[in-house]
Amino acid sequence: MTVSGVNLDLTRVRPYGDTLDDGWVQMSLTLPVPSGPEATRAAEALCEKMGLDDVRVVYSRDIAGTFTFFVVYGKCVHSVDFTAIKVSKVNMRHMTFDEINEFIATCIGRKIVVVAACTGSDAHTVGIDAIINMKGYAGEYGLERYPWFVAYNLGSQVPNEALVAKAIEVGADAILVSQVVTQKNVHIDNLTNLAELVEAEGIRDKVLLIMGGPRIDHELAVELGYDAGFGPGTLPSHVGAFIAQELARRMGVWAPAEKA
Amino acid sequence: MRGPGLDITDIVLSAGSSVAVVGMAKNCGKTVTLGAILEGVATRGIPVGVASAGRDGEDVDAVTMLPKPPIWLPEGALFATAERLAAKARAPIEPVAATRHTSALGRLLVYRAIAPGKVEVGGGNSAAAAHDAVALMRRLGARFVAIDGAAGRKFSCAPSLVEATVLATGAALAATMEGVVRRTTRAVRTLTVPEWMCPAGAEALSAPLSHRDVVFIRGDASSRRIVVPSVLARADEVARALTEDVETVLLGGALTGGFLRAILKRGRASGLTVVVRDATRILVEPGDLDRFWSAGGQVAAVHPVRLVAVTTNPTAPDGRLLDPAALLDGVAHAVAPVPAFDVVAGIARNLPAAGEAGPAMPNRSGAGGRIGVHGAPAAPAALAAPAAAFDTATDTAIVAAVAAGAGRKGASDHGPGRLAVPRGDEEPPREGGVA
Ligand code: B12
Repeated sequence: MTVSGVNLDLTRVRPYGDTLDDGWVQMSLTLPVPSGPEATRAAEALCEKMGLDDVRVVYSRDIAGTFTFFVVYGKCVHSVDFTAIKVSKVNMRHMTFDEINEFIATCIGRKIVVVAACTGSDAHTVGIDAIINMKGYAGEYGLERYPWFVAYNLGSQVPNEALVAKAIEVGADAILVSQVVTQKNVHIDNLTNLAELVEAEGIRDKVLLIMGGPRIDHELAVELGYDAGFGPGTLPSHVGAFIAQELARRMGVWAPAEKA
Repeated sequence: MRGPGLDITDIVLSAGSSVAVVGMAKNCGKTVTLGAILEGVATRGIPVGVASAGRDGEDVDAVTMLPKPPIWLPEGALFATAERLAAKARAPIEPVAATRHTSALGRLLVYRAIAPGKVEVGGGNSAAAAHDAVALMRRLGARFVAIDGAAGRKFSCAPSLVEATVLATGAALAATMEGVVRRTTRAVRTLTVPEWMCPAGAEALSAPLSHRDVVFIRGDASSRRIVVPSVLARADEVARALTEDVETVLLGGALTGGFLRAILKRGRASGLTVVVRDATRILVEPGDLDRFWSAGGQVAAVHPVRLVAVTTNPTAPDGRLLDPAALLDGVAHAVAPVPAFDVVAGIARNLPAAGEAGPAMPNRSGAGGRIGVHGAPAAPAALAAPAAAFDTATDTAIVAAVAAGAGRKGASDHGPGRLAVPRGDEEPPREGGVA
């Protein structure tokens, strides 16, 4: 492959800084030490251990007297083989608001019911609201606005028990869970517990289990036994299209076109 | 002949022909434990099948981003995986049959390893999928089946799925050894709640138990069954129905903290036994269970999970290393009489004397139909000579039938003489051949 006239070896991809393949990166970190020359030296030493050469602290600032924030510039000595990278992605065909509604009307013939929440101790509602709320996100309507979706948004800090109870009560086709805080991997414990609860209540085969959040991806979803995972930049129509297509496929009324 | 002493494979095989390996957390050495068992089983010439309760065997852990040991399979091994994961196998494989399940990674198929090698096993993300994959691999000739309880998915050790469970624990679980031992002990106690042996059980369970059923059993063995949308939503209502004469409440679905707290609030814990289908239905924070137990309540299971071994991994992903022998000792002491292994260091504790007894089942109840004290050892069962336990007759006719798309009902997974609880979630698998 050639980029700007330079031959690029995709088996040895390095960061782009000023020129192709120069390896320069900029990153930030915070150390729990007071700012000063020792702190700067410590940040540089740490970055060298991380595989950066020619490390320079280009900005540093004291935080509350006991911490120091750094912006560091350095040359990465590592490379990655881009050709060997395989990522599982949610498998679906993109559709618009109207296409999704028409698809549900013709293939499924009834409204799709979803329950959604940000669970556990997590209080970040903006992500799940973006997907569900009437007003939507980034110029798109949320699922509440779709005539062929019935969406229940339970809000934030919802216990898994309450989310599953609601799903059973309304006969949900899909459970949508948002996890934003990932400190100490709380999201893993919480998402695993939800999957176990859904299984223990005997509804695993009746619902699509979908997770989302800024640090969620489809790989993680699959690993934790979910049907799909959506990360940053997700639009309501992505989620709506996936749910509609996956339900239709499971009902045996629709099959995705085979890709070559 | 292998070396002296029993290894983890002996212990697993003495309990039956299927095992689930579940991890307390990520990086507790589950995949290494699974590998040790698979290797041992293959060495004994027993055809194996492997399924997963999520996804495992990928190069890099999706949670910690650390490299992971892949799942190594011996030649001829069967494994159930999603089509798109099969494409990543680093061993020559061939599709053999299809289950009725499909995930976001494609159809869940059964493959055969034509030569030994490393594979990704995944795509069976529900109990039903794992159940069907196991039944199918058995019909295709697997004499031993292992389930990889990916990412701590407990459902994979349900007695309706496997006969034995191995729990992997390790330094990744907590910052200190005491923390690892404490959390492991708690998990073991929950997983091995005693078997419910109430004489009233037969009557109370005469009708199939659905996930929505709650059965109240009184002291005089009479029972009353109600149907609720979910105990999760009606915890207070169900707790209110626990009149003084009710000694046992049997839940068809999950047991959660909300229900235990509702019972505690009404002061009804003392003398009450909450019975679940099996321990995988218990999804309660440790604090709530402790309070219920201290208040005199008991938890029991219709189908006990048979925990046959615990394995320890002294290394944590952040580089911490605990003393392998000290960790094993600490865990072994806490889970006794369950055997404990460090399969990497090659050390073991709590082993039954060779030729004498099979692994003790700490959750067998005592005599007289009452729930036994936790930890009471079982009557010794002869340690079956592993190879002899498997009949080597070929299954060619069945394989042909499966390939032709004929559906068959899986064999019952509970031996005779057990309380048969028809499980509402069971359906005959409908497999088809691979087109
Ligand atoms: C706003 C905000 C808050 C607000 C939240 C208000 C509210 N009602 O939501 C307040 C001030 C309350 C807050 C509190 C905290 N916050 Co805050 N917060 C943020 C902030 C600035 C923006 C988050 C946001 O709204 N993003 C916009 C939405 C649209 O994006 P999104 O969530 O990624 O959602 C999209 C996708 O991920 C996806 N999606 C998300 N969920 C779902 C679900 C499904 C089913 C699907 C399909 C898709 C999907 O679709 C969405 C649209 O594309 C971020 C930093 C940042 N700039 O990102 C920190 C951040 C998320 N917060 C953080 C932290 C640590 C906290 C606190 C713990 C701080 C503290 N020490 O007290 C508390 C925690 C409170 C709690 N109990 O949860 C950290 C999280 C770090 C981590 N990974 O663990 C962040 C990243 C800041 C940081 N760099 O430290 N926070």
